[in-house]
Amino acid sequence: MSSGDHKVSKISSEAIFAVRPISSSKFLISLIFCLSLILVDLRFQTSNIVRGYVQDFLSPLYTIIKLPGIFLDRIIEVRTSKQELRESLYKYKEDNLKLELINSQLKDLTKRNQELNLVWNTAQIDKEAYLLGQKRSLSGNPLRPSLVLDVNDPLSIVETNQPVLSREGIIGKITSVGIASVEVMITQDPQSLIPIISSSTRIHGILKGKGLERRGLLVNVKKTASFREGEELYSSGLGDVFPPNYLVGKIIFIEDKPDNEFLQIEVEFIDLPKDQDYFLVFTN
Amino acid sequence: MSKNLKNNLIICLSLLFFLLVDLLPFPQLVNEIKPSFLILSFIYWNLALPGKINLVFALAFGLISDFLQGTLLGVYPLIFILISYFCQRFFNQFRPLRFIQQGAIIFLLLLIVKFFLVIDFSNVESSTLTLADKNYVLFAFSFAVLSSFFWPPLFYLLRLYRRRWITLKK
Repeated sequence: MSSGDHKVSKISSEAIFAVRPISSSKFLISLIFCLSLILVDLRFQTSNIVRGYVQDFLSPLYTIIKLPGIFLDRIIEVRTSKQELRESLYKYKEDNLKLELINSQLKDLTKRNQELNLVWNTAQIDKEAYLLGQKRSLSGNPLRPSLVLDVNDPLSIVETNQPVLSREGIIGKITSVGIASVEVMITQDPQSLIPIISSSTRIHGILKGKGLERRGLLVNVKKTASFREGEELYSSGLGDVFPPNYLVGKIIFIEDKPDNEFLQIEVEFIDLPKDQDYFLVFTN
Repeated sequence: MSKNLKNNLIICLSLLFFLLVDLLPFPQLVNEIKPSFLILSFIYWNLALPGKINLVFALAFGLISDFLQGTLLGVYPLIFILISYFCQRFFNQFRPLRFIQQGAIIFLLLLIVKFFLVIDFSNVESSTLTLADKNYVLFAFSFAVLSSFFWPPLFYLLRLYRRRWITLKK
């Protein structure tokens, strides 16, 4: 095609009207393919089967992102030879995390024991039941946050639906497992529902996420319920997904709207995952 | 290596680079409003070389984005395919526009993308069709405005890159 016959693009040197857009049939087929993917994923959650493995596959991307930071770290390490210190710090951090978690559980257990006169033997605390996971990434989508953890799991004991805990309490549950990584649906996810019990009034409820850095909501709470502002919420253990007596959040606002059948109770979740690098997977 | 393959690789490299830029960790507030450089660069390539970008790019980078962002499988490929189609269909009209006009179109396009991303496919909220709240709407506007501001520099940057590395048949 000569430039004399047609208007020629200065960018690609091709005749402008000779560049065909994507053909309608290809476009339609791709559109149908994408919609089918969405529908199949919605109906059968097929992506959860592969997400963990894909995260393993994509881990080099995260490594590349970390490269500038790693490079700087290395320079500092060479100068101060703090490798040994880091190893011992990691070990202490791990122990500290476990102890803090157990402490948090004990706090609520103590309260319950005082109230119900339970004996200490009922608390079955097993350090070996926890597996340490290091945060790899937290997706930027605030209304569909997904946390990816690197987990060293030689015995393959990590499974979907196992709870993930921070030093203070429950942070989410595993939705997909790969070889060395797991994907976690965090408690702030709008799809997340956790059965809870309040610390002082001992009322049961369901806590629903509303997105990252957003307050959660207690759903379908009748107006006669006597929740109090400032009250801490612990997992109740109902549903057998989350273990009981772990801190989940704190009630910060209660509103009784005349046009609403239920109370509007807003809850602040415990520490956001962005502030932490290490989490525990409860494998029992 | 054939010229076509080399060009595709060069385009892929630039998209991969911007994918990594999008993945860089920032505070949550910045994460919500920072422009999506991958989408912007994808728009650029569709406008600059409509004959070279095909649906395989849209599907591949869409699926990778789905896995990285944790969205339902198929959401990002759908977005990329639609962007690809409309950019290639209207690139003749888009190219001669001034940057301010292009920015306005980018603003609208990315605002739609941002709202499409929070459609409540799983029916989490039975009363509404979207998961967006007031904050999200505010952040979506900021995101779209920032993206349109970043469009001209990105355009020049990618044009430099294209002129330096991509050779087309004469």
